[in-house]
Amino acid sequence: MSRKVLFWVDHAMSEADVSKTEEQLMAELEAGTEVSSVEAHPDRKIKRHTRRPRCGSGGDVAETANVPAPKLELKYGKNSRRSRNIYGRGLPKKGGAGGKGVWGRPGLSELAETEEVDERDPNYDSDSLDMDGNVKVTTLMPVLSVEEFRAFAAPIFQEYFLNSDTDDAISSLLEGNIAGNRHSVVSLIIEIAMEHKASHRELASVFLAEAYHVLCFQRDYAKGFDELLENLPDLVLDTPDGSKVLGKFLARAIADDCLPPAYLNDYKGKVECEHARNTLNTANTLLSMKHGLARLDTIWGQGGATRPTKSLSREIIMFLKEYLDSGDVHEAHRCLTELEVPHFHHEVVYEAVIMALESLSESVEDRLLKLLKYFADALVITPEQMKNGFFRVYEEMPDICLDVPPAYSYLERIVYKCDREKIVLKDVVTRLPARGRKRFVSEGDGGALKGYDYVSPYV
Amino acid sequence: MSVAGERNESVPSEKNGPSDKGAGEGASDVDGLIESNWEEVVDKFDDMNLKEELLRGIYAYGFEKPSAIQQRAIIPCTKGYDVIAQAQSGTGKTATFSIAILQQIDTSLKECQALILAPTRELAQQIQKVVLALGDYMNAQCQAFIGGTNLWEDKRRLELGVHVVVGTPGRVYDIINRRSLRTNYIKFFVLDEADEMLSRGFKDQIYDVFRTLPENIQVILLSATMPADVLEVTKHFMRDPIRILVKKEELTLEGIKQFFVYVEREDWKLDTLCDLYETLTITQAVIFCNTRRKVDWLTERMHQRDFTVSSMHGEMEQKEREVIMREFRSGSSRVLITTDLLARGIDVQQVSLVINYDLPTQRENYIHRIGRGGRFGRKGVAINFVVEEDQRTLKDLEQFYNTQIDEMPMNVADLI
Repeated sequence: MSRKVLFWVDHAMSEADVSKTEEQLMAELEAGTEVSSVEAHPDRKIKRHTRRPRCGSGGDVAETANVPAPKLELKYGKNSRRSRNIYGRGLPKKGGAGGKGVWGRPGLSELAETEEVDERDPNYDSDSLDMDGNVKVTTLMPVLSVEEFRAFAAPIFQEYFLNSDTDDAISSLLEGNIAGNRHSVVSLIIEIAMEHKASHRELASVFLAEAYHVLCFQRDYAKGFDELLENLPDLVLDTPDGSKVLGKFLARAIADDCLPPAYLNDYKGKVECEHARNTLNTANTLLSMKHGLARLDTIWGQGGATRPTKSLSREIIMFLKEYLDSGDVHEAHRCLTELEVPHFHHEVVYEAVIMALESLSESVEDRLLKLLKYFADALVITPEQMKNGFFRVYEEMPDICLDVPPAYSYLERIVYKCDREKIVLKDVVTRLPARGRKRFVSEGDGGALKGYDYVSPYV
Repeated sequence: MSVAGERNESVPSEKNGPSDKGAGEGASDVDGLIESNWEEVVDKFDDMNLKEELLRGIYAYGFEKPSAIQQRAIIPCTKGYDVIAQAQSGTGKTATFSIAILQQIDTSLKECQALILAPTRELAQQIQKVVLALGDYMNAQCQAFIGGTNLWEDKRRLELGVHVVVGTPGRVYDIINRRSLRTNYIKFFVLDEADEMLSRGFKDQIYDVFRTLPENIQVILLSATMPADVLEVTKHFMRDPIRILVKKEELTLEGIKQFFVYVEREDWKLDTLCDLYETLTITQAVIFCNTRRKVDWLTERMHQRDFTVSSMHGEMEQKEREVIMREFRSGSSRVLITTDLLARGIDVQQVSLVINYDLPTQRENYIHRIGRGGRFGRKGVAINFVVEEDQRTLKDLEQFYNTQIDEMPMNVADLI
């Protein structure tokens, strides 16, 4: 309403007062003096208002057209090249998809049909609808590229090697979309396990056996191993015995029925790569050995942090006995590292000392001490573990004494020798238990300190 | 033993040079747990005369005080001596040689100046991370070679200028052989976890790499153990090496009170934990589960019951984990739920209460969860939740670590 008034005023160029709207008049009444400033520049005010209808479109334009054209203050003439972006010409916007002779914005068109499910359509799929005939929406996981899959699966395997929970690892993998990457499950876990300890390789083998028909199928195993055999020259750079390790994995997979034995035959005579041939030979030998399949269950050794301490102790006793026969410290060292139990090394000390005590022979004792000396120097057994081992023996002494009466004096001799050889720290010596020391005094040796080479008369 | 300074003219002869005594008879601490023929011990990074940018990197990385091995080994390494550092893993060996290398490389020269050999690709990547983090402010470039098919990419990176190269011996020799890596400017040769490398069968490759290196190279060898084959390497490669030997064990259960709570059934663990919640929040506690799934589940359950806990999720990047960890350290969260993997590389060791919601399936993880190194000599309490079938595992743990795990007393709160 007010606008029309203004137009009229504009053209008639009558009194400035008329241009004031009702509100302005009200404001004028309230704030008396302010009016003068408006009156001082009536032109400015009017100009501002006149411009407005140009921005509008449609009706307003038509309305102004009826009015005799005012003196146009054309800032932008018809042929002006200056931008009229902000003012526009009242035409449909270019990007707006509206206007005459165009299809309009997609989806807005009246031409769009309402979707109707035609049951006689050859492409009609009854499964896509639910009970009420509504379209069902299912979540689809994007297919992962090889790199994405590796980034997704590697942490799962890393965790699996720490918690040895096969079911959890499998269900974590199933949460992702592994379609098309099933063979990568096989190749990735083996690739990671190649860099790890034997116990982790065992876990990888267990995983592969468990994943059969849940995650991977025979062709996936075959494809996975194909891929590994192909990459072998590269893998061998980081794992020098990689071809042998892969051979063991392969043999184990065949023994676990994940792959048919024919897999090896298919390769026969077709391999040129030296490493791959090595792998296949290893696998073949392992499988064709007598009782080979049973042996393959323990192909990654007996060590590892999941085995009960009892069996670990048994292993330790075994290699100590073997060492007594062979005298080979390096082999004993190898056996010990293979067990992968650095925090259980006190057991080696304990068993060795007990063995020395029970042997009643100084040569056995010296040989065992030589081994302990080697372990101590190479820091295979840390001083802490050494101490723990000896303290355990000290605690057991009353019991050992029942079977080996001179145990105390033997122990004393052993500890003094260890002290001299710097195998043990001082606290092991100072806490050495003694029994029957009083007897020595009563028998008149005056409590004299015994030398290193002291041999008890009770032996 | 002659003085190593003969070889390197720039080394000023001073009283802190290597002593003439044989190895093992030099400086040793009271316990006899540290042996060395290098007398100087510097217990502040500030006093090591390091470059300012490097010092900033060190503090930004989170180091405050040098570890036993760092106090002794960094100085001789930066002075150009060959060094044998013998210490258990996790005692700060990687940072030791990283700092020494970064101190001496010239970042304006866009050539490989240091070569680090590691037994596995995983370790190589870890080393790369440490070097990059420490050298962040001095703009040092470090590349780990881990193979795969992108040989071309590796080569391009090298051409752009990499100061430090890390890889397994086989991989590095392969790159040198392809003439992608020029060895002319290499001044440092580091063998990390030498015993491990040799037992993985890298002996020939190590010797091959060594033969391609310039004559007057500085060699730093790190190893947890010193069997004969490692000694042989030291004899071949090193001239009058400084020998630093830290016998102290990385982790120990000493001084930690270990308890078990017999909860009988898996379902009852949650209630038990809630009952214990008030005890937990006396200080701070870390709760270990065996799987990430369980961490998420437990966190949700605890939140449902209106207990405040924070947790590490599987999807979290290392950065986010560090944020959570910082929150936890600063004390704004008091209970943290995590798994073994997620807690890796983050010191949870200053926490005085650890709860094993699940007993670890691998015994080694037990000491990683609750044991502590020499750096954090504080006392601690560990509580194990034990269900029916765990009883044997618990017994096994006691035997394995030669330690004692008692039933939790009612007044456990007083012990924390």
